[in-house]
Amino acid sequence: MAVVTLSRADRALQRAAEDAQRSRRSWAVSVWLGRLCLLVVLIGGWELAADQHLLDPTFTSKPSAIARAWWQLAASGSLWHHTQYTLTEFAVGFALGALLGVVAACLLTLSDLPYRVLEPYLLALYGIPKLALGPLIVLWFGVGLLPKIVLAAMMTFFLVYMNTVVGIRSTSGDMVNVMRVMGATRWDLYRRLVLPHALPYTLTALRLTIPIAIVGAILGEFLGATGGLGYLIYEQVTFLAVDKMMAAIATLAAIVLVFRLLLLPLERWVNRHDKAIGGNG
Amino acid sequence: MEALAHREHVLERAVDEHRRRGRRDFWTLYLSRLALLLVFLLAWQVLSGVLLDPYFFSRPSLIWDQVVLLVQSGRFADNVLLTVEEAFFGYLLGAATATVAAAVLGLLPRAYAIVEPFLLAVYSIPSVAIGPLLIVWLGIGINSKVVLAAYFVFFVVFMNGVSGVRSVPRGWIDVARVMGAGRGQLVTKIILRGAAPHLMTGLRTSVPQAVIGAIVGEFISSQRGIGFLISDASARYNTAGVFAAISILSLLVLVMAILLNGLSRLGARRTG
Repeated sequence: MAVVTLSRADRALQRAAEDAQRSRRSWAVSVWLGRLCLLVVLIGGWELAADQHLLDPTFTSKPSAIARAWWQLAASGSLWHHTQYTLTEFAVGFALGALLGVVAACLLTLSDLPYRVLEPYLLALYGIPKLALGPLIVLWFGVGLLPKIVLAAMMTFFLVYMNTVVGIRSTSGDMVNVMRVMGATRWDLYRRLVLPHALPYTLTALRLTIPIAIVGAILGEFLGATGGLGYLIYEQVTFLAVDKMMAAIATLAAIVLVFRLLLLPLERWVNRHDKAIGGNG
Repeated sequence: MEALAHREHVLERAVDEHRRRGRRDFWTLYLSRLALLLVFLLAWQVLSGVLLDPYFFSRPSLIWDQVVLLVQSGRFADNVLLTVEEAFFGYLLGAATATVAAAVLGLLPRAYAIVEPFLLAVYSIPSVAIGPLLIVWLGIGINSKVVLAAYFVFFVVFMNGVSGVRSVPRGWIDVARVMGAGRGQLVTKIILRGAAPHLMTGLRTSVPQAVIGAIVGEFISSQRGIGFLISDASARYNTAGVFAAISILSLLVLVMAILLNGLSRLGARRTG
């Protein structure tokens, strides 16, 4: 008798687990179906509305025309040509801004007085909308790659600097004291304790600044350039070539997406110890 | 008894000393900051023409002259008001649509899961890049700037709003349901209240974004506004004019930040 009830309970339990799994699976299925439907409706609706002249194709273009424009740009090599400009500006500016941000954060946290004196100036500079400096930067550095690199670096610098300072400041004082007692020099302290501790903060800032560094580069291209995806977009206004503009915008979005996705695993790898530390209390 | 009085006296003196030193530190800090600013401006003024090419760096006195000129000719008020107007309407549009979208999608987890990749795709579009498209669609007047400013604001408010709605404890909702709250009451009394802190952060931090959106829109194509003043002066190689317009913009952003701080403190006192 007891065995029978046990097996019945077992079965009920098993059924409940299966139910939960099934409902989870049905959730995933419905979400993916929903995404697919939405994609079809959006693109199909857009295409149809443009064909039926509910939307004016001169202004909104349509998916098939955009795909054709993208393919033409890609096949003629001009897409890659412009992408190279934007990628170079972004990569150099981003790297420069990030490096300067980390170095500035280290230097200013070395002792208290320079930090307290300089901090309000950095904050005031941070308060100036950096994109608004675009024309000034162009005035100073011309229309080559340099002004875009400077703009991208400026967009990157402040967030990286501020996050790194927060990371450095949140290093536990006890640990610093322990290392000091054990005879660590300031260099040891930064290399072994402070910087590894600040790294996750810096990485978060890096991920957040990817899109805005590209924004800086593109604004620079709007203000005066000979190449780049921003230049490509800006140039098409005169021709009302909305399909080419959309194709270039989609390429930009893809670039941003790829860089963000590339940084995610890196961030996870850096944070890999967090769980263990949390688990130990 | 005497010993106690003495100890109290010593303590009092120590507190006094501490306070005085604190005040002195405070003043040293502020005075050194002010001194640094003055030294910077003075060095700029003096070195311009000697070490710095005035053509590229201008000098403080010339920039001041340009500001005075802008104010006297009436161009100051005209252009500042236009930019404020664009930023204001852009902010309203962006913040309102983002709040509604966040409330709806935050409440419907399945719908949110469905649209999430689409949102991520749109979010990856660099905000500046759609500027020229908006010019094609809406012309070079105020509308394209308003929409660009709204686009700059939207995602900041939306992301914060969604995480706010998600942060409302499940228990609150259950309790409200048990006590007979209808759907409308649930939204206004529980969910929006619970999401308010996150939402307010988004609404506050996105204010400068609206101004930047308006300015960038004016850079791309315009005939008036602070952004126009900057790009126009830059096109004429009038460095002092560029600095003057940027200073005016920075001042505007600063004033808005102070107003906003006061407002949110007031709001916190009301609700807290």
